[in-house]
Amino acid sequence: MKESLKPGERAFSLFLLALTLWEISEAVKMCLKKPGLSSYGALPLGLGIIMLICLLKIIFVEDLKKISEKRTMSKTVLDAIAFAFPKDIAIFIGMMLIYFIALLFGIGFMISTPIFLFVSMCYMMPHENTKNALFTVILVVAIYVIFKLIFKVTLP
Amino acid sequence: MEYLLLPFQQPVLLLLIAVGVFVGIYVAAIPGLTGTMAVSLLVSFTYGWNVNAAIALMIGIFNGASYGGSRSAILLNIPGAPAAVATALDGYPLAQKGEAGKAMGVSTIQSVFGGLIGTVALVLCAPLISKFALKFAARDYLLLAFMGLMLVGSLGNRSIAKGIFSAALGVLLGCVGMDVMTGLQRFTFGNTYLMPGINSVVAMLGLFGASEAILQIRTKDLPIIKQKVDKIIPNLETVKKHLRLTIQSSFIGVLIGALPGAGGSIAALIAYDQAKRTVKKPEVPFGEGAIEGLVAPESANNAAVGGALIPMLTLGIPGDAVTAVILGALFIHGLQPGPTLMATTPGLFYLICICLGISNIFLLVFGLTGIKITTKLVEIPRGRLVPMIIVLSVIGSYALNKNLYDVFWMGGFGILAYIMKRYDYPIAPAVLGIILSSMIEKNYKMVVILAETNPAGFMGTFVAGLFTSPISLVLLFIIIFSFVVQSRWYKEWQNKRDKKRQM
Repeated sequence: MKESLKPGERAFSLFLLALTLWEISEAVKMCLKKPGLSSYGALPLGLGIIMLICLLKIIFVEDLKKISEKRTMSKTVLDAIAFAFPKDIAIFIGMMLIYFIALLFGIGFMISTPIFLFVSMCYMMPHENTKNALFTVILVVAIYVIFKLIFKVTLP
Repeated sequence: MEYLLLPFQQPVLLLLIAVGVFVGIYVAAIPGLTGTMAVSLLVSFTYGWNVNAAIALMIGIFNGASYGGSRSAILLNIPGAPAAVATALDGYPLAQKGEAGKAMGVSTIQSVFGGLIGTVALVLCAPLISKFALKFAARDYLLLAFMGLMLVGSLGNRSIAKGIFSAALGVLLGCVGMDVMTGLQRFTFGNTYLMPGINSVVAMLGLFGASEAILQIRTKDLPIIKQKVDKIIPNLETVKKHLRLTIQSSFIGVLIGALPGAGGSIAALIAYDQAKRTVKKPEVPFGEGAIEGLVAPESANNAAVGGALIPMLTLGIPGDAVTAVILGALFIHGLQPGPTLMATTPGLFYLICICLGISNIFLLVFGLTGIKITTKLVEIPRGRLVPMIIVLSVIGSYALNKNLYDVFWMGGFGILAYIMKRYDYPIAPAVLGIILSSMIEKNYKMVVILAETNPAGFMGTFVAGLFTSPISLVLLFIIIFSFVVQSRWYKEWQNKRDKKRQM
């Protein structure tokens, strides 16, 4: 049975192809600055060529063998986003990034971590807020005792 | 040799091995958490420790995790780790018949046997390979690294092109930063953070930890299956009956584990396949709860632990993803695994061997106890597990350099690896590429400089050397062979041959 092309699969391969072409152009610039096989751009250039060959095989041989549904442009984009970043995953990544930014802005690990844990648990497991709160407290205390007190690890 | 007694002279090492095995078993028993992830996290916390203590803990986790995946494979039909995929084929049918305890007991005993055979193989083979590896030239190391990347990129992946792309991407990521010879910057965009290069531990935490956590969200709503498990210790007759299969599968495990990039998952699948071919009359057919279907993969995947450590310690090439992480940890501790390791720090080798041996004893103890904890752990909902993994990855990525940008890089790698996994790009080759990148670059430069200073030029030294040196020739042959056996033409020829045989 023929395999189906996943939504956004070709777009992702093309994105990687664009990145690879950019990488090759940068490596060529390095090789022009310092020519020769021992140039600091020689290995990146070689790797770029390997990546390019692989991607060309993926796009023009492997992907073409797969069954692809005929869709309008807007539906293709929407399906690709829904496949790669379903609602739950997109929201969780968003929460993760907010947590990282909170750490960067100096809110502090011991404040931002319980908030991140509780909010993300409540999002993924609604109707169990008491258990989520209990789990958050246990986890934060365990992290503090194990990492800060026993392992002497500096927390963010 | 006095290092063999070290864990007995320093009980803290014994304690760390025990803790490692315990943590390894229970981490790998939780679907979605792997030994690689646990060891990656550990590297960031233990870099300041005494190297012996860090090794004891890492080896314990490695061995424990190689076994732990079987528990959720038996109880839930979800392999806790890739090495337990084959275990689920017969383990789960046994659990459905109400014999989960028996299945878990058999897998424990077989894992211990396999682990001990792997340890013996490590002790006997590593010194010989290490002596032989001293004859390797820079060209051979370059070929060896490519062989590792080629194998990890092609074995077990649906698309060889995606595997090799991932491996090349990993090596490229390892090239970011200042060139070691010229000091010129590559892909840094003038950013001082990128000048020392991408931190391999941060990359590993993102690629293995964060990405897996994000991926697990997809299954957060799956119902939890509760299991009832009572008796676990198997009878002696069962063990005796399958001893031959245990030894056969353990040897397969050691051999496959020692191949750079292959690892326990492939070893277990090959051993399972081999058992199906060699066991003529199993009590129950394979796939329906055959004990032989547990014996083969479980002894093979733990024997592969010792096997995977052989190329890591003697050649500086990791046998699988976990040994890639352990290799990174040894670099952080200022050690240089490779053929000179035996000569410069022989104690370290013997310490690893004894830690692995002892970890098998702890595996027996923890494997036959704590069934209730296992059943509770595998029931932890993903909704609570995922945020916990992210927080641990944040702590791990920050702990190394105390730099919050590392946390963002970890997250970035996590998202990239998640998307790659969604579109079937394997992640292990990328990690191996990052780890091997400095070795590839160093040996490549040595080969080129040698060629440039030789009147015969590049063709006369490197290319001619490939065909005149027996070591290079063998390595080149393996690279070509591993490429050919994955090709469409070879597979078509193999199918035709199999059809002819059946006729």
